[in-house]
Amino acid sequence: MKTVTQLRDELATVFDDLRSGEIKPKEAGELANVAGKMINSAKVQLEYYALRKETPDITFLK
Amino acid sequence: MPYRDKAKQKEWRVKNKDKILEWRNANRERICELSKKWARENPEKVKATRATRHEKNPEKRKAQDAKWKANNPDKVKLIARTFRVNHLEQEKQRLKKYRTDLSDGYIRDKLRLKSSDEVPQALIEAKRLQLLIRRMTNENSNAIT
Repeated sequence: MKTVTQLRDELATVFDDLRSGEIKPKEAGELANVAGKMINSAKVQLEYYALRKETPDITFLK
Repeated sequence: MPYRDKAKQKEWRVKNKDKILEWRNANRERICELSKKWARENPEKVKATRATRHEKNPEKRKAQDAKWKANNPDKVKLIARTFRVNHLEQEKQRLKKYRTDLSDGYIRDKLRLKSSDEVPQALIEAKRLQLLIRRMTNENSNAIT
């Protein structure tokens, strides 16, 4: 999982699996937690570029 | 007015355009005073004229509004705040919808990002899915306990 698009697709799959009962809520919760960490790190990078008044060049967001 | 006939009056105006302009420039203050007095005495007519003018030129009005908003950010904030205070119930409903629908604005708030920041839509969608999963797992854990 190298980009945010892949992360989104993965989360969509997890959400579908959770709804159909294929994975346990605890497991889904853990995955969502990890996804949250990845999103937050991307957010911090975005803020960093905004503070430096530069155009973001983040591989994860491409 | 020199003529009662409107067509003749128009003709006269076209002919004496320069004269009229000259007179207007010379009596600018008086004209301003009189028009203000007329506007004070005829608020309904002013309102109607303004409305038709806006209907005729919606684009111009939009541009004027945007210009005014850009020049008066403090007033815009104050108006929005007053509106929110006066329509508290409506505002509560809007915020509730904002939360339940997981709108883009709500997710931006959650990420603590400014509306002016350029955020890729994929990141917002990923965050939305993450929040949905978290809500679902929380619901499940609440149902178990």
